[in-house]
Amino acid sequence: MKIDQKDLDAISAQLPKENIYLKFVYDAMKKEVDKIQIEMIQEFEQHPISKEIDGGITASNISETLNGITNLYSFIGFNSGDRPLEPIKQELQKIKLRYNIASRGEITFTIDFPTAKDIFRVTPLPWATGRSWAQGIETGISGLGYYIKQKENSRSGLGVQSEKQIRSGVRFRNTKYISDLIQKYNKKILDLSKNTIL
Amino acid sequence: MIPAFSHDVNNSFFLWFDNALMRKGQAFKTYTTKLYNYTDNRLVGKVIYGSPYKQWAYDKSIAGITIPSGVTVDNTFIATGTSGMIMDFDNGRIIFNSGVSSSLTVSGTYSVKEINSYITDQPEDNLIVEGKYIQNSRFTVTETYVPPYNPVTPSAFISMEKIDNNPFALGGEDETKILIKAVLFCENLYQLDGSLSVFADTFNTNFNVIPMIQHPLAEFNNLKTGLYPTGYDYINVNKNSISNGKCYIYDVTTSKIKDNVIRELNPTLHIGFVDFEIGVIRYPRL
Repeated sequence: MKIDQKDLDAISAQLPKENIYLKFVYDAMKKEVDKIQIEMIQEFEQHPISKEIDGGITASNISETLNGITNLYSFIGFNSGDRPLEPIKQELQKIKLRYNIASRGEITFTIDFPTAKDIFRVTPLPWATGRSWAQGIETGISGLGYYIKQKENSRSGLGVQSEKQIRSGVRFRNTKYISDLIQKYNKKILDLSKNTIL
Repeated sequence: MIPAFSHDVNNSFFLWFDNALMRKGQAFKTYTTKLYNYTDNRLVGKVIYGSPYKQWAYDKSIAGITIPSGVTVDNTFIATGTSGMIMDFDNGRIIFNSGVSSSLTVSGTYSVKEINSYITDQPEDNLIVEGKYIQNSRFTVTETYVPPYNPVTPSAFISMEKIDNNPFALGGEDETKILIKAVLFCENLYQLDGSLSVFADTFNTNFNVIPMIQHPLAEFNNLKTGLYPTGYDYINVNKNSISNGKCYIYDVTTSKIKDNVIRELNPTLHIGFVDFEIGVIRYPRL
């Protein structure tokens, strides 16, 4: 039996209607997306800013953003027990894969990927909730949270982690963080359209 | 050094900010008060009469505003220019040449900004924690002049935090991204919420680049009458500056310091922040 182009076109149009085929394509795509997601979350967790904040009030300034005078957790002014990275992880886990089958049999995948703005929305500064601390890492954070914590803790008898003498002039050095991470992995997601995964 | 692009943007933003607050928020008040004589060590040989309020308004595009063209001296109206009289709009005072009596009875009618604005390079925490501000004399028991030069509250401190160029189009066209932060010190929550609301609504609007040399105030904070012979009108100046480039407000974030935190910092003032992300398409290397 001879199969010509017309037959192949007819088969191609029918294939997406077959559940086995659809599942196969979806799983292959999902595997690629999951790989990117895992890599992104790992990079986020390994980022010096994340590691330092995850270390809490006793962490050292491994991100070198504060000249070692204090750590980010204290400087931003988080309260003891706050877990500021959790909302970011939750956002990064929200990547969704959807598909649509066109009448001529073409399967289009859509990937819902978080934007930097999505992250900024869920990372409010403890003392000014309209502002994002994650964005502040990139654009600058004032030492106000640190000052407030100093005042609060001096009254309550608690200390603020500081290797050197506390002074109001602690300056924060901006550094790349969420926007760069999102941009990098967004590109990887977009690049999937260039790859052959089957 | 000649004014650079960042000077022009700073100037443009400052003028736009002031106009937005006074026009959209009608954040100005008109007073008729006495002006009090005092000496200013920086202006030796001049005779000064100061009002109780700083930052008189001078933008005639604001409807309902009173821009003084002179003052009343011993019941006679004296126009600007008489005995070398100039108006220092920023410090809310008039300056006479030497030889003028220091015991005149002077009064005037003028509008003042409800929220004074200042350009600063001070970090936010310094402004909030270390700043000691005089209040524009709204609640003083005994009315007198407000001392010159130092900032008064309610006020907005504007600071350009960051400026960088990113490639935009072939041929050397870049997008200059500018981050400007404003810290607002207001006397009550109503004033703070209103100001934040005015600026939150400026998202996706634009204003033109007005060169620094076109700033309306001169050396003594008097109006540049040579440049603006019929008075300064922001709307007009902005319209005529279209060829200098456009500043697009891509993003505005407003925020205020939480109530429990304010008590730790400055219980008499309500403090808020407005962060602007602005973009200008231009050829920086030409």
